[in-house]
Amino acid sequence: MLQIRNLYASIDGKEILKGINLQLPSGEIHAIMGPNGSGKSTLSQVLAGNEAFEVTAGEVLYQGKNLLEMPADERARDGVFMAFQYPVEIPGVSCAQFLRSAVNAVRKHRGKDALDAMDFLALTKEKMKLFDLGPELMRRSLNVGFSGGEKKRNEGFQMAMLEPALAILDETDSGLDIDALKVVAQGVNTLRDPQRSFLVITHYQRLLDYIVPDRVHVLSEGRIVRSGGKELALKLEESGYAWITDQPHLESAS
Amino acid sequence: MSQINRCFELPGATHLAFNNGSLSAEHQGELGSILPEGVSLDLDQGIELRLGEGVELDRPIHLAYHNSAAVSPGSPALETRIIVGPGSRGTLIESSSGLCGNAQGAAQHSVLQLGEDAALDHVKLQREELSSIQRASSKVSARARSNYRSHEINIGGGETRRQLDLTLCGEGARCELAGLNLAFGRQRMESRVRVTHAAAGCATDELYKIIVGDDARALFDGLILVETDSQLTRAHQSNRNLLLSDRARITSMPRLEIYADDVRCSHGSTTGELDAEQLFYLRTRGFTPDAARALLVHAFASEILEGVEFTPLREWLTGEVLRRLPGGELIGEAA
Repeated sequence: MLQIRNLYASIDGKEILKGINLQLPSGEIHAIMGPNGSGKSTLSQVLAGNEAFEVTAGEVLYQGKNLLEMPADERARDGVFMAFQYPVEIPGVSCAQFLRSAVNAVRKHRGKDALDAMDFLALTKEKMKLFDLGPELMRRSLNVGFSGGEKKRNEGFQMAMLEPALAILDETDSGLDIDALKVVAQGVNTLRDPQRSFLVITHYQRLLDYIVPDRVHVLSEGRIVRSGGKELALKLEESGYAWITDQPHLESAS
Repeated sequence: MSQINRCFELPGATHLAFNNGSLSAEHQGELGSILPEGVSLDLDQGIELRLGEGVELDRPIHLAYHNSAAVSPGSPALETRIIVGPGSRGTLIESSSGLCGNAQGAAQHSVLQLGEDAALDHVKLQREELSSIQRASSKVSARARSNYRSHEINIGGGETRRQLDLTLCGEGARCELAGLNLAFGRQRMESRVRVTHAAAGCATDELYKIIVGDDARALFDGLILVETDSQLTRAHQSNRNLLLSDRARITSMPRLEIYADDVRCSHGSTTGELDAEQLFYLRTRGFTPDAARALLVHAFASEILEGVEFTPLREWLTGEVLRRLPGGELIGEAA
């Protein structure tokens, strides 16, 4: 699904990613953990196509295609989805208007007919339930006045509507209480599919109690310094990041 | 851009068409059956539309001006007088369309008088051909406890200058003034709005928005004047603008002049570009750059358009705004 090879990226001339290597097969969930400032969010922004970040070396293959050559919107239509750590508020654009345009852009790209108003409504009702959201949300301006939990659940709901092949969850657990976290995790788990891969980026192990990863990678100073099974996350929870990040240049295959 | 449709009838409105200031032949002999009860139209000197006392219009009246004749500068204006009797209420739409070519059309001047306790919802829509030169003005007086709502919407014209001069002359009169100027290519638009609080206890809520792209230029000059005896005035003026290109220019001159001491007044002006984070968010959901921009520009304009209560007009305006935005057709269906 996704192959990242020797990826270097910088912003405003400051190098953040310093040679990331990662292989994410179809149907798997991989977690990226790491301390603040290790480059977790930069990695997700680069994968989503944020042009503020400059890729200085390396390559990323998505379903065999050169991802870095695709503009952000093309990646989205082609099945890449990022759930934002800080979902953006857009006054004056209703959730319904936004989502119907987005869903139909993606459907058109996949050679499907646009959904009419009735089919769209039926689909939103079904998918909103997964993330415990009510229909009144569709009339509200996108993310405006949403609580932290509503914003994150809305990201999950959008993911369910857009049916991506690759979903990147950027610190989806930040700012969530335990109940909201469970709702989001449950929603994500229903979307698990042999044809769909997840990259779950998180600072804390807590989320991984509910979204159980196949692999865990530890990011430190722009490199993956350790990879392992889900037990690696538990070890990090017990011992903190210091025991890994203090050991320089511990390269690992994924 | 395709040519602006000459025929512009809004379903559900009483339609009165004027060509070069004269009532269109289509209405000859049938005025009596078109005009609602309590409404009279006098065409001896310009156009005079009069709502008697306590008249409630159940559908908007649409005065559609079409000017096909060029005039020399300084020619007299075509004048429309609208008199809304005490306690009467209704919606009035004035639209202007016209000339092709770099020609000047006759200036259009409206005088509106709102009697005591009257309420008028007034939409003034300018949809001239993109090469024409056009001047229009409205002079409004609002008596005690009357309520004047205005939407001035400019989407056409090569070079247009619009002026609104409003006097709140009776105690407790209120006005709500909204404006939307949308200029692309080499369009030039000027809006000058002058509100005089000449009586106590009146209120003004004013919001003008300007969107400019390409090489267009626009100017907003807004003055709220509060006279000495106009105590307990409440007035708020806001001008918010969106620049869609490096070459476009906006000049904003918001002004307050206050000569009374017990008032609550404020004004503000902001000019900005589209938000890069919002654009990126939309693109990660599959919106092309054009569609993402169109959605955000439409959202900016919709704050004004949603205030237009007559649904057929609001929908027509929404369609026109989207039609002028690259990528607008991509979001039109969902908008």
